[in-house]
Amino acid sequence: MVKWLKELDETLRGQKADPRMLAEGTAHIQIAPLVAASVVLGMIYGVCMGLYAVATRTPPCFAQLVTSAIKVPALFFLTLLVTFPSLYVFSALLGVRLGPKDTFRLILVPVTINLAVLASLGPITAFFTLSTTSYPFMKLLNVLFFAVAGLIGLKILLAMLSSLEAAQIPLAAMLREPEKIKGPVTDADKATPAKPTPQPVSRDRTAASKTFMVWVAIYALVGAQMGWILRPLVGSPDLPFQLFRNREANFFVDVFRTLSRLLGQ
Amino acid sequence: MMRTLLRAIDDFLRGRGVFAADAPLSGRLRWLLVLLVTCGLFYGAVMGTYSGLTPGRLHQLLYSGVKVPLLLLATFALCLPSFFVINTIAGLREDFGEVLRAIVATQSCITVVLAGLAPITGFWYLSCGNYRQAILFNALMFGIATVAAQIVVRRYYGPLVRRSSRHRQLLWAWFFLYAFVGIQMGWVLRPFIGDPHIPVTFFRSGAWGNAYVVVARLVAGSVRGTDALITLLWLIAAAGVAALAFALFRVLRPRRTRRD
Repeated sequence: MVKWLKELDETLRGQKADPRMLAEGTAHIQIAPLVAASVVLGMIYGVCMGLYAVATRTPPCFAQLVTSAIKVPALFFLTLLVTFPSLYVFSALLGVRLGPKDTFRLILVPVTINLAVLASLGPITAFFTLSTTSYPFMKLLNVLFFAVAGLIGLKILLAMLSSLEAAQIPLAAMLREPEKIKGPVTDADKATPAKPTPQPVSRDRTAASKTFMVWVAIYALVGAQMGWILRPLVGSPDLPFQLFRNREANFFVDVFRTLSRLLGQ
Repeated sequence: MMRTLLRAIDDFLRGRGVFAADAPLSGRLRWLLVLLVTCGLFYGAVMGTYSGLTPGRLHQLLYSGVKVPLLLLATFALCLPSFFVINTIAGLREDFGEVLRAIVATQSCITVVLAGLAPITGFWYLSCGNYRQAILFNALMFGIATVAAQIVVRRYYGPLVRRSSRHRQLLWAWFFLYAFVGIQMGWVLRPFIGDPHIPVTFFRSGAWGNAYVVVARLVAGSVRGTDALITLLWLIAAAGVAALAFALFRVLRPRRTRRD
């Protein structure tokens, strides 16, 4: 338990994305503690989300609370399960030198951060849940929070990729610009001796970052639709509790429908 | 006791002693919370006097008094976890002790300024006004206090922003989140002033509800039949979300290491 928290804390502090660490590979990212921490974080948010069915129904529907707590982590890991193979295949095809395990470790860090942000927004969701009866509002609030957390996770992924690319490039950079590496020693250099930190490269994106960019879009789309398939997560007050709802429409149609219901009433 | 409190308020307003921006942090947080609760209680009680000073209604003073610090502290507590996580992700965990005191100090400053404005509120109640005007006047006082508190924000956040410009963007994120939750918290904790014609209660019966839904319905109701305006509202909402996303992107942009 303490180990999970320590790993989680290191992840949040960005130590897993440290260019110097990434230069030596991805072995410092441990899969088991991060997965466990992600599941717990997802469950925390799931409970806050499922609280709506407890607060609005008489008698309170605790089954919704339990299923939401299971569904939120399931949402993230099922999405990963669906999209990971294509990521691996395409990245290998385009000549990215990451093995399947390395790729998974690399993806796990942003997913954990995503869930951590989501769980930290949990108290706000719970507060709005307890004081709101409007179902469309709660749905949109949850969509907004998922989107915010997802954007932060995306940002972290892009940052990690740029340091990873930098870690693979230093040799080439040294050959190209030797005078910059062995420049005159300044005070700042004395203050931070250590080994030269690889510079993040923003231009000439490599195959890795292109693949990941496309993959992120796929991940977001699949994730949104996965949330729709796994619904009900909040639980409409008019409908009885069900494990899964019938298949109809899709996520984006429903977001617009909800928006118009909230504004059109 | 009273004198110590007044001296602490003076030190706080001038940024001296334990409240100086560069003073050691130990002990500051406790004083900030003391100021927040006492000054908040005081203004709240004055705010509640509108409800009438007859023997049967005096507990409105207590209710209003408790609600002002409660509003600030509960909103603060709800927003703190996400602010902490976002600070950590942005790589600013080491500064969080200072950040925490800066945002608590902002809230303390709001209550201290409100306490200073309390006599004016009392005077307003005496000289005029129906219930609606009383509400508007109090909203104005809260607005003035929030603007005045920016001086304290600048005092404590200035050194942080000089250390890393990300602090500025995170401060904006904090204001946004705090306002979003605070508006709903204020709605839930109604009534703050207490309508003199209604019996005194801590919560208004049927007060639960959502401030944003109420506003959306009011706006939608006033423009019913004109779909163009609803579309416009959608666009505004979408633009707001996009702006928020853009701000987050900028905050979390990978830190550029120095090139020499």
